[in-house]
Amino acid sequence: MIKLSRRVMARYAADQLLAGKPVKHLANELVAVLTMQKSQAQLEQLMADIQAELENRGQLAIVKATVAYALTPELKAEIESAVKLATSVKHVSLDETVDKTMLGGLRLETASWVWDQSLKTKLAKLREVA
Amino acid sequence: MSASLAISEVNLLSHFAETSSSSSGLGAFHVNLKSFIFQLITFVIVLLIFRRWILPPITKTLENRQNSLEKSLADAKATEEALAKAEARAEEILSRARQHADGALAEGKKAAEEVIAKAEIAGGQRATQIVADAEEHLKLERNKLRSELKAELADLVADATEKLIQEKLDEPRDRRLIERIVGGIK
Repeated sequence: MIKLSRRVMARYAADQLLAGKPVKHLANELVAVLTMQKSQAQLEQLMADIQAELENRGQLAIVKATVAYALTPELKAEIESAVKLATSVKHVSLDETVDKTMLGGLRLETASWVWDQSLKTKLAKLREVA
Repeated sequence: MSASLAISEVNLLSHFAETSSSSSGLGAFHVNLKSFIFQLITFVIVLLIFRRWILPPITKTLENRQNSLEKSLADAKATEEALAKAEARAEEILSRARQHADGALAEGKKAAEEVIAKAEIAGGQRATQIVADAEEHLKLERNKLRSELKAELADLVADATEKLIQEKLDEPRDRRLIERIVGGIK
């Protein structure tokens, strides 16, 4: 049996999604392939690869935003707009996470891009420089 | 020859004694002629004996003594000359030895001065090296201390900043901060 790499499967998934194939159907196919290849544990990595593929094609960026306080809708819209410019994608999906240990600021992470402007990271860098 | 001469003189004197009388010549001086002639003959005999057997040995002895003295004098003179030469030679040797000693002393002094000078230079170089090493060590210690102080200061600043942020940074302020950050992305 030919073993498909994650990159190949990710490209296939991106093609199918952009072609409008139903997500459920595509998901079943991918899970079946992983099961046949006995690599179910790579599902998380496969999802990340698909996200990266879609982002590289300029279609979709799923942004994980980590903040110390909950974002307002206006702020979310601004963030999405900024990410669109930074990653040159058509669509942005924002996934917000509130973490008090951040102290303040913002951390944005996509499949292929990370932008950390949290106060916690800045303080950690200050300690490292010393 | 001396004996024949003495005999001829005796004959002459005997003839003279026979021909002379007491009233003339020697008789006027109240001199007994026979006795005189006898004494004269005796004298001549003694003289002859002296000349024949006594004088030569004495003369020879005197001559030998003379020669011996002259030889001794000559030897003494030669010895004196040899002594003078030896003294001169000794003086020369002493002079050379003094010169040699002076030269050795001067060389030794010079060598000692060179050793002292070299030791001073080495000591100076060593001192310079010690000072340089000490300065390098101080520099390293200074840099190490500076780094440690910097780290401590950074930790203090970070801790103080963290506390300050926790106290002062509320939601509105955080929102404004995020807006500035997002503005930076654009």
